[in-house]
Amino acid sequence: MRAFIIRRIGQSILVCLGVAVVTFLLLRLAHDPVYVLLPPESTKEEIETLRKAMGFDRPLPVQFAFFVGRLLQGDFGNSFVMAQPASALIWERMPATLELSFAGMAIALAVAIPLGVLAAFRRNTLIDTFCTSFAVSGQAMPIFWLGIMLIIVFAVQLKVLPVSGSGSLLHLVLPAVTLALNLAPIIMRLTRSRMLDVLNQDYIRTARSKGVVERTVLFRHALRNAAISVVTIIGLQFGRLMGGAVVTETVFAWPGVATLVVSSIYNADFPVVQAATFYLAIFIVAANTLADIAVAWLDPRISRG
Amino acid sequence: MTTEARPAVGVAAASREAPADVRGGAPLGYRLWRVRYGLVGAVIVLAVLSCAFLAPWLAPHDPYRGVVSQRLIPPAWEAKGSASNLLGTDQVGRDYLTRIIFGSRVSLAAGFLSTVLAALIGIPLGVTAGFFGGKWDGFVSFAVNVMLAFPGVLLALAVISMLGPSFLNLILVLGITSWPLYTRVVRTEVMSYREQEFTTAARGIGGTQGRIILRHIFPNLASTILVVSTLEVAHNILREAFLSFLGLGVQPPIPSWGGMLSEGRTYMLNLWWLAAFPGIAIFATTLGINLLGDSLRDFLDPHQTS
Repeated sequence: MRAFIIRRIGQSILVCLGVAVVTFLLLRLAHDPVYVLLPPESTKEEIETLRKAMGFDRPLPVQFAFFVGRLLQGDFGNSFVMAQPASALIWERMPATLELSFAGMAIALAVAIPLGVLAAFRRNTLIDTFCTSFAVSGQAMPIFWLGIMLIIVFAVQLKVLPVSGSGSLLHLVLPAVTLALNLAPIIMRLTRSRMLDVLNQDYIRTARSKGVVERTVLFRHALRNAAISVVTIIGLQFGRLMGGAVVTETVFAWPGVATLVVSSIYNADFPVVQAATFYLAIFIVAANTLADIAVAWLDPRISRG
Repeated sequence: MTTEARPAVGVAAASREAPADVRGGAPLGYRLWRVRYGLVGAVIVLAVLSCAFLAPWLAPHDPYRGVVSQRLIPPAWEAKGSASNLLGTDQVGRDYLTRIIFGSRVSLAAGFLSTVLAALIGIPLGVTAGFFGGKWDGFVSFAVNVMLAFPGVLLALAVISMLGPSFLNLILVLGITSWPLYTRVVRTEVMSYREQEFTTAARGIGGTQGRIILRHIFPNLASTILVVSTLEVAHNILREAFLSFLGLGVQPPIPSWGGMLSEGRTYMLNLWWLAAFPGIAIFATTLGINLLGDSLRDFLDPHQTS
């Protein structure tokens, strides 16, 4: 188990390094990064000074080494618009994004797992058809449109919930539900198919042939084993969760990282964009790693290879 | 695997064979759904494709010319609606139905072209990684893991903010951020073929590696690639719509569903339909493509029915 954890963490550190490379290259996609980093009205001297200061006149590997060095100190440079370190701005916004993400994930799990289990258990019935149709249409739904429709129905027509912004628990309802509706279909489908796999196993047949009550078969035998897969699912959906949070935040003007990124993109405030991309990616790597370790802990067969 | 019904609790032991769903036991509604959903998908996709190709003939008006005196007309069934603008008009007096019909062009073109680009990057990487294994495989898998660490749409946002918004950049960005799925799926499948008899046989009669890959392994991948591509087109249509919604995709006045949704959102307080219709168009299109993709998967790969 310990060897597995160490190996898994080692891999994650490598992936983080890869994330750093991509974040680094992102800035080089532009013709000349200096023009992106400086506001358009800068003078020639300013441009040259920055080029030297940032080391853009040096070879790429050297630049990368410097970039990683600054990265380790959490230094992405200052935001052009706010005159504050980009990292500080991101961390200020992170709690709101996490709040939304966790609320969305919690609702999604609360809806999707029971539905997935139910659909698998009542396979080929109308209940199954209903659950599957819900999942299929949910997956095709543009999440930002769904958010707008929810605003129109609940905030504009019924006037029971606020249109956008944050501050109270009521403000959280619509964004969290939107995010949850984006996540629930895939979680439901995965839960259903894992549950079907488990229900097909020999030990379930054995339990049934011994005369174990169906309810015990489902809850004691099947669900416990399916739970392992569900943990994996949660870990794997983290990237999707963050992506969904990005979209949801922009629709509801939720004061998280994504709203900041989008406004930074409009303002060509690149250090902020870069920092946000990097931190959210690291976050996802960490979540995936934790999920993997949790699964290995739940299922000893995995860490023993 | 038997399909043994347990009437006491109503559980049918899950059968792995797809046709069993269609044949018997299941209620009529379920069976109809299983048989028809691929057809429904195909009909929707065909309808959207006809809109895209026949837009100038199908659309009742000019998508770019607005009539100032006829701004923000509600849809025909509302009190102040008119029959000549079935879905009403937008804030510059352009026919909304016409713009929706023309909008299918951007969505389909962006979804299709970016998926082709993703396939061109992802498939060769996946095939070679799965076939040769070793260090190259290690490197490719690493690259896939790194790409998957980014919250999809955020990387696309960041890249487009560097390149600037345009249709070409949109396709580039969606393509270079969505190849890992191809690589991952193709790699796993090639690894399973590598040790099978037909590959060993081809090697035995002296086939070169290039020939084995192209003539023996690649044809086996066709169905997987087709299924992944269908689902990716739908996915990329959704992402294109979001980027255009943020104003980072196709630029106005070119009609795009994401862009129209973003303009319509301004009027959501009293003119809800302006935001509703483009979204319904996006939803129907991706739903159609997904249904088609799901049924293709069931049809082409009987092992994977879930």
